[in-house]
Amino acid sequence: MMENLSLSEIKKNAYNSINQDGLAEIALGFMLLWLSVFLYLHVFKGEDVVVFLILPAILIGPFLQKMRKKFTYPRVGYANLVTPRRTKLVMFVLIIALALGIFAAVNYVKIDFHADIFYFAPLVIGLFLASAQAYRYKRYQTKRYFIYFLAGLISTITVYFFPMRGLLRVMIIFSSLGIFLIPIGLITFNKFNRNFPLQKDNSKKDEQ
Amino acid sequence: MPDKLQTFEIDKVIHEPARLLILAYLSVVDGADFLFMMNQTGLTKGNLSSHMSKLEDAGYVEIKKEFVDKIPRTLLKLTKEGRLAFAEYRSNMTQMLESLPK
Repeated sequence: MMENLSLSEIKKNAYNSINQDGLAEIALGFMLLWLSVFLYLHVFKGEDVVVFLILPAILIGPFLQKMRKKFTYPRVGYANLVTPRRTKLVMFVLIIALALGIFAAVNYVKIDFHADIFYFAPLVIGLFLASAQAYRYKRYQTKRYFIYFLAGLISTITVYFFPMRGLLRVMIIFSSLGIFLIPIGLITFNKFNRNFPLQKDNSKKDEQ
Repeated sequence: MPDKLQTFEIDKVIHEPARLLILAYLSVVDGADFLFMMNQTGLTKGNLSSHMSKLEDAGYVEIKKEFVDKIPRTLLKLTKEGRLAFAEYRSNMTQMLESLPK
């Protein structure tokens, strides 16, 4: 019981216990596929941006929580994981930057999807996604995050050398990662359900 | 007991291994339910329940019973006093172990 009593190990165990269900991968996979559809449709105006980008980004969190309430918490229990302050700050800055970028794009800029700036966009976005997975692997030492990091890196580098320009390459990175993450998430979810069958007295266990 | 060791006060409520593990888990989450704590600590229902009562009596843990989608849930949370006591315990133990002759 006490062999692993170090706070970092305990943090890792708590995080991995909740995130071993594969639901985050499924949600992220669908989000990336949705983003690639968004880029394919080239909708960058007014309400379309709200419907295609902001609304799904806002709804994905509560949706994940709802799924976890139904499938994960009755099996492994519920824990409200503490998000480190630094991560919160980075997320806040990214969201503000994204919102300002979208606002500027919608209102002031006539977007030329073949502009030079978009030549490096796939590399930047792909490396950002891959490094997010590398950070998760470093922090929680779970092998599958390393696999996601490799997949992100390989798809980014491969797509970077594709003989095409513009946001089409970003779309390919998003869709390839989405197509990669959804089946992995489904397999993980299936494995999780088999490893942690729902016991009838789980809810009674909680009545203490 | 050597004089040096007497200067460190060790909280006996926390010093028990199972309760120390419970507090360690509760210190890294912002609340967890009974099932989660049972799975993580490996304690039985009765054992966890009795340790939780002791921690609650000491004012270190808050036990809240609630219903989520008509299912009962017992939410366990470290209180402010509990967090302070745990931090103090860690600091005292570290100092005490460092002060021991090698």
